[in-house]
Amino acid sequence: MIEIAGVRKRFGAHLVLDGVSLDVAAGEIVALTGPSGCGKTTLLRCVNGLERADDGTIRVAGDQVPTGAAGAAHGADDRALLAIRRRVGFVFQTWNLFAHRSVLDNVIEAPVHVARVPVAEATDRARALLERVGIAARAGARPHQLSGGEQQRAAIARALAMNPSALLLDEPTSALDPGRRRELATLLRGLVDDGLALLCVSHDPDFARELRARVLVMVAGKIAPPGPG
Amino acid sequence: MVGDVGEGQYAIGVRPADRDLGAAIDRALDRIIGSGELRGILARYALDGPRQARLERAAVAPHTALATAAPPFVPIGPRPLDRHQVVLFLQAAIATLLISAAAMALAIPLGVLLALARLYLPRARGLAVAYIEVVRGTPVLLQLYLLYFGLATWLSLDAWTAAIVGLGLNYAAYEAEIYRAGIQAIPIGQMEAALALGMTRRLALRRIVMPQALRVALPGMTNDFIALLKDSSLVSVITVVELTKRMTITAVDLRGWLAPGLLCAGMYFAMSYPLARLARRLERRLGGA
Repeated sequence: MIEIAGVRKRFGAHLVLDGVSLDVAAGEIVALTGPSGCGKTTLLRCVNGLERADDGTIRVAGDQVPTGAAGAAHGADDRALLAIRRRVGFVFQTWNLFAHRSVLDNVIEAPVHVARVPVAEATDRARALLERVGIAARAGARPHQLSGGEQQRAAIARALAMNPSALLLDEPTSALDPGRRRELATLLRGLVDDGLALLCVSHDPDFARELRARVLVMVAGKIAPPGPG
Repeated sequence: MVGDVGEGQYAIGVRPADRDLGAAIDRALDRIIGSGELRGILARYALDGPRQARLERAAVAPHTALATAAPPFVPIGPRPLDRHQVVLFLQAAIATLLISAAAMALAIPLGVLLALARLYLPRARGLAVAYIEVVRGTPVLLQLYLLYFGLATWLSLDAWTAAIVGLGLNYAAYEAEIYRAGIQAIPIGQMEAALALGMTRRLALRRIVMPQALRVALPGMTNDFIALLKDSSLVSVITVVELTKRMTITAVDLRGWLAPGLLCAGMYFAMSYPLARLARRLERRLGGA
């Protein structure tokens, strides 16, 4: 579902990604671990085009994410990106819920205004999603009224509302206690069993184990070769 | 020329105590009337005529009697405001409100465009910055003069239009900076979250960033509108009669500045204070502190 091959990304003089290759199949979870600053988050951002990779290829569900120097065809690149982002959910480390909207409005925003789903239909689906992530009771609350764990789940519901085929999560457990973490792992497992491809950046080996994820270690902009055992 | 449209007379006034000066001027006038020099001067400026001759004949004989009979100068106190004048004040207050509201209605969209150009349109950025700096850096009074009198040859605006356009163009520069600050106060993550959901940058701005920026910008906008309400008094220089102009007209009329001044101040306050309250309520409704 997600195919990354030979991706490089440079910020000024600093080579953040130095030829990263990895695949995530539908129904698979890949947990990406590694020291801070090794490029994990940058790789996630390259997959949905929030950063543009300098080199290499990235495909999501067969469609190519624009990489390399932005040429004259940037109108076509923009359209390609919009199409890809509709199929790739992204859950930010800081969640980035829309601060001026209720939880429910956060979830229906993209279906209604990007996918043009009728409001009533989007609302029904959003309520079902909030039910599934366990915060249906907080649908009317504003993001700042939620705990970290609730914001986390609201952000997941918002990403799922577009029916993505892949989900990218950046450090999803940083605000969770172990009980909440296990709940999140169970939730994500359930989504993946429905056919989602999941790429998750995490420092937390316990979480990776609970996810039953394939663990890849990233060091200095590269995927480290699998260690012994 | 259509002929005479009115008649005026020149007079020389002296203080009652300066009798010597008055007498000296009278003597001098008698002399130049007698010698015909005065008529020569008047003829040079096309002011001479039969009426002038009549005036001279009347002036020469009895002027000394008139001068001695003049009553002593007694200062007269101010007259009170009457109902008619209060009605005129209310009309002027409405003029002030209309000009300010119309100017703000022009300044807001133009300010938004300038702020967006400055932040997101690299090709238009220089132009937006130049507009903002030039307009902020020159007096609004001067801009009104230029717009109404300076451009009159090419662009004939009526006074009200010039007032509204002038104030609107001026305030747009200040609004632009308030909106820029508002937009930049919204964390970048809000824009990124919107983009990650497949929104275009334009949709993300309109649905996610701008509504939040508005909440941040609202106190500044309220401030500007209240300032505009008072700056609108400047448009009296281009012949619009608004509240402050009405006050000065009335003050001269009544020979007293206190009552018209207080009435004028009260009316400005009666317009600006409810506005401040309204804005505060709006801020609360939009959420946040």
